[in-house]
Amino acid sequence: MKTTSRSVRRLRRSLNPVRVGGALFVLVVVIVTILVPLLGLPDPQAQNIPEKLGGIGTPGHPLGTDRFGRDLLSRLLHGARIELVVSIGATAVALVVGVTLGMLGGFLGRFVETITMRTVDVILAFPPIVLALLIVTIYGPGIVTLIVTMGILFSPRFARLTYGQVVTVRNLEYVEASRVFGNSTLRTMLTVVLPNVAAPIIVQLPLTLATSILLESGLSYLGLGVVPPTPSWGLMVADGQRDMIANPALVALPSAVIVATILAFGLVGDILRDWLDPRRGMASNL
Amino acid sequence: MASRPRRWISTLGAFGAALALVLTGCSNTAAPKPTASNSTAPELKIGLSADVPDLKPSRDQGAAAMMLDTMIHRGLLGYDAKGQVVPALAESFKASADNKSFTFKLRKDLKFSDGSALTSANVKKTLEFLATSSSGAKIGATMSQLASVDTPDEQTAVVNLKNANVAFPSYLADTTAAILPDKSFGAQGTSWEGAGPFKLDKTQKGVSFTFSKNPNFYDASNVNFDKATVTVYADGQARLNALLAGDVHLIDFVPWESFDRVKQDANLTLDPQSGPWMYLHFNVAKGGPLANEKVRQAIALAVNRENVAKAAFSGQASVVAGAPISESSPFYNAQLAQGWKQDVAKAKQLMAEAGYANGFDAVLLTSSQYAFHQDTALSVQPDLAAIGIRTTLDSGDWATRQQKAAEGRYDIAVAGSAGVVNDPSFLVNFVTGPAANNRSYGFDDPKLDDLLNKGLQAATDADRKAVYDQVQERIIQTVPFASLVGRSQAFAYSKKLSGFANIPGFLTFESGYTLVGARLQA
Repeated sequence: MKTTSRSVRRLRRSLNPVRVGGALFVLVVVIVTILVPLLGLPDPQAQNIPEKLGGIGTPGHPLGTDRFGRDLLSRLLHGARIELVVSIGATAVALVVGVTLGMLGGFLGRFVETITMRTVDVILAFPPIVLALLIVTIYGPGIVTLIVTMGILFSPRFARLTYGQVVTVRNLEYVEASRVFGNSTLRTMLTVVLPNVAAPIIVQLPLTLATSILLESGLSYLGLGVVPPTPSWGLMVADGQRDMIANPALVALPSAVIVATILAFGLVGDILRDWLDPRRGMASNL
Repeated sequence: MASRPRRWISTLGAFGAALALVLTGCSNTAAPKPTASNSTAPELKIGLSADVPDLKPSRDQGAAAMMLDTMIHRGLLGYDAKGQVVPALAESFKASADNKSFTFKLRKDLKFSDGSALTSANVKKTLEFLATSSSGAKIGATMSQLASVDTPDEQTAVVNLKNANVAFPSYLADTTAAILPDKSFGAQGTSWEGAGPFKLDKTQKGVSFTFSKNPNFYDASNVNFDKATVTVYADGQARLNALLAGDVHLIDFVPWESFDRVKQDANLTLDPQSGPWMYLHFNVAKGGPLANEKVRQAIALAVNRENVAKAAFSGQASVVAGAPISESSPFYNAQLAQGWKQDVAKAKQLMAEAGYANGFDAVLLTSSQYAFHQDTALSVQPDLAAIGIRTTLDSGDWATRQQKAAEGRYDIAVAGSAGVVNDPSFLVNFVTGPAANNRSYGFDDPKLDDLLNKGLQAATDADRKAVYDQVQERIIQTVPFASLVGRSQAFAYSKKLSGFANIPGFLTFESGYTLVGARLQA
């Protein structure tokens, strides 16, 4: 009970109006992503070229239309779905690959450590956007390519984080105890070490989601991300750019949601960090 | 401690703001301060739509390479501002009565930009090179008819063809028929030296080309620029911004959505010409549905060309529903020009007759590098879906698109091209010859080839008209390509630049020829 109340206290202390706003925005994006097919919006890919470049308030198109007469609101909301699928997918790949490398390297040490951590160094040696461009150019654009590419790109941040935490705890008594009780190395890693190094990894998740959205938007903007006509925010900015003078909303709206979503995920990361890190609570008690 | 979250917020905010700026292209306007408009020095600054890493003699490398070709190289013949064939390195030429032999008299004391002499031996070597299939020459189909080149003296070259070709001089006026120095035929196959009005001094890979006037050019007194700088602006808006800011005097490929913006600027001239045409071509080598001419006919009948014109070209394009022959051409046939007028019901019927009533899946190759190519693909995608052809876009960079098209790694491809010449004989390049990135992969129609040959050999214009009517009928039936629209192609330039002109029709990309004689006001 004491632990629970301390955790709730830390959660309360980690909140402020800006962070709550960010968390609510993320919640709205997630809900919209799930419910968008039920909202009765026009098909985001359906063209109606005679109604192209309609401004905000066009009948039947609250946010207007693009150069193909496609509904901007529908494309923004369906675009959110693509953004979340890609960023969650990429983050999941990064989490699995990164934590696996970090756990193996940190816990087993010796040559395993050399192999895993040098692999991480090699990935880090490439500028992310250059490596992403290279892979996407070779394998072609598309959602699966994006998820795998970005997952690999972001795995080092999880690998290094996990490695550092595992090295810290691998010789502690409770890990020794697990071994003494006859648990296998794998079981010790998964049931004893992993739960004790999970907090900073969890904090890293929303930050990686934010970075994924940024990179996905950039690649889609460059024509190397989501394949049109599938809606994507970065693609919408690229498409809208040519008609920016006729209809500024085509660029302003997707740009605004990209910025707001990245900011919101960053704020959620801040909440998680302050909430899950007991040392922050102790520091404030001093 | 409380400052760290704030730092996070500000960092993310800064990233977001930077993203918005980058994505909206605002950085494009952060170009160097305009200097060109204030300059009195005779230096011409051009904004070009694409980089040309390797200028390969004879190849079709696109509009940007053709602009550089006209600056560096010259052929026996060229074009004037109205698109008439005019003498260039040859001061005169004469065709034999049967149009199988052409005698070219070279100007005296011709030299390449490096000072070496240019003689009939260079003409012979160049034309023989163009005739080899390994050269991949843009005019390869025409040059394959070369029988011999005789050089009775250093100033005379007699070109003998296997078959008559009344349009042969037009082909030799193309930029890729430039006469090249011997070193251009080496293993590298690139040619940055020629006998044109400028010589290349410096390149910054992917950024710019710096030229100076070639004192050895035969018409050097008419070159009114001591220096010329060509800067690559791949993005259309960036290119336009460079012109609006006065960083350059001339740009190619004015974005269609920006035509009105240029027209409204009192200091700029918009020079559009209706010329290049957009079309779909097919991979028939796979032997699947696209090898069936009924399926290709169905596609040609299914597409809504008005939509392509509006969506991809902001209405600055005209519908082409048959072979791309201009209304102003004596070979235009109003009825055949509507041979593929949209008829979705008939298209569905043809799909059923071909055994594809339930449609099929296909890869639609295009390129995101040129937005109008991708927009064209996006515009036809729902039309194809309406007759059951479910397409997935393959929209990579331009070089990849070209490579995939040349290697047959697609099902249907969007292409934009211009004939080598305004004469309908240009159609041969889109229906026959070795695999190329701008025609249907594996397509072969000997009957059509035969008709096109007959057109070149016809004795009178009336005979040629009759043959080209048959050519158009055959194209509508076998669909070696499905025409979409004829797009307006515009240059925009400062009002201080005079003498430059956009050459009409398919010759728009040859317009660099008119830089000779053009001048800048102080």
